[in-house]
Amino acid sequence: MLEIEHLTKKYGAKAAVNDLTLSLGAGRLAALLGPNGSGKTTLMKMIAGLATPTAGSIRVDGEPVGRSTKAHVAYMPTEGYFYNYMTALDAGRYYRDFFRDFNMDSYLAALERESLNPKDKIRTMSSGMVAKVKLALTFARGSKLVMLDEPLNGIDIVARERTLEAIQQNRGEGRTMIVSSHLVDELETMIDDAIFIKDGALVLAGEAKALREKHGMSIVDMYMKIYGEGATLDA
Amino acid sequence: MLRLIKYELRKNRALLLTILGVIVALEAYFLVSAHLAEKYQITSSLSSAAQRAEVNLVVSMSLLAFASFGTAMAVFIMGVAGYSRELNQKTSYLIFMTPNSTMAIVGSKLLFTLFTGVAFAALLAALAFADFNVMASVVSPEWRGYYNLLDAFMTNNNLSLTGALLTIAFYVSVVFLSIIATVSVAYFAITLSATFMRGKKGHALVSVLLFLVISWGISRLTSLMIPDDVYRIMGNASDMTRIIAPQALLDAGVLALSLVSCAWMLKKRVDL
Repeated sequence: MLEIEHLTKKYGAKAAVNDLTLSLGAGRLAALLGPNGSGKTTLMKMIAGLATPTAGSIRVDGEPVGRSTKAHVAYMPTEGYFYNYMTALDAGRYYRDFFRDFNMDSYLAALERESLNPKDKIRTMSSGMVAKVKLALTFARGSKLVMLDEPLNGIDIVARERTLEAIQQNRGEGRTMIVSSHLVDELETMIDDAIFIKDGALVLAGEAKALREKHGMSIVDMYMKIYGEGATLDA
Repeated sequence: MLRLIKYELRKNRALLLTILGVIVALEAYFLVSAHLAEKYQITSSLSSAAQRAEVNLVVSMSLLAFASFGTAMAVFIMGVAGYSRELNQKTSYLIFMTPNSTMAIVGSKLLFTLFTGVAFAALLAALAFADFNVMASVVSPEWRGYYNLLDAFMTNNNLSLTGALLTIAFYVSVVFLSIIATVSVAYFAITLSATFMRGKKGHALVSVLLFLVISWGISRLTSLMIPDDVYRIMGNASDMTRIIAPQALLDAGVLALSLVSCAWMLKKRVDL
């Protein structure tokens, strides 16, 4: 489903992503793990076609990132990205106009479940409410590849639970999902794969169950080992 | 591309309605002033009310003239600043994550700027036409003299009304082509700054300088194409058309080249 080879993204002399090679199968739920500034967002933006790699290649379903892959890759950025004029309904109409895989009914139902008024302006919403709108928009698409960038950031515990539920409900059926987070414990029980990146480079990646067995520790503990001060973990 | 243009319109709706509101308010001011001027002229041309009405009329006409210039500037700035903002804010995700080609994205913004400019120009031209009629009928029949300009133009160039209108339409098109070519050069400079030069020191300044240098270069080329004694050698409308045509071709070339370059740069080095 997703094949990344020797991917590098440099900003001046600094490499945000450094020679990263990775592949993900269809229907997998992968956690993209790493602290702030480790290159998670840059990697997702390159897969979504919002940033061009300095070197290397990305293929989604065998196709290089471009117009055709954008039609079936859903990316939820961590920031708000809506125009000032937009209500939640306007955002839905925008998605409906540009993405064939967008289901307006499903989107409106999701807004209703979250007690959000479609006619409310997004810029007047709290960050938690905006996160719900973004999630509803993303999951209303029937995309083959879904990427959620820090979906658990800036939301309260209840919203966090509901977000995790939504991720669970929308996984599978051939849909590959990548969820980036530094809140590892929240994702531990639900993921199929774990991808650890540090300073833009891949440190460890594989099936979560196999990684746990191999290293004899939980994903959370691996995270602590990899990113903790002076700690190391053999790949 | 029509959908992209639709969203350009939606994004800029508030600004466009503000411009429209200002034009409508100034037109209303002019009509009221014209009405009062006519009323006091009939009753007493020496009264202070008549003088006030006349001053108001002159002020309202001046403001309408300024509004025309202001509208052109506002549309130009809206087109350029809107594109720059798009490449430098997170709202860019909304456009660039959709399955649209970079050519369609840049093209829609240029076309929207062009359509907006044409729509406002048409509105202002219609108002100018109506206002001259008002001035002619209300204040002084001498204003009808302006229509003689069209008569003179048609006679001098041996043109029918259709021919005159087509010639004027050609000139107006050339002016719009020139403006939109300038906007496209601004897009080129902004795109270069936001792609290949992103993160480099002074990229914004370089972008502005690049725009100024290219614009200056184009105007130099244009001035070389148009001979110094243009008014002496120009005998009629067809001469004028022949003289202007190379400039129009240059502008069309600049527009096409800028558009293709912007689309290529965004495809090869987008970085949002």
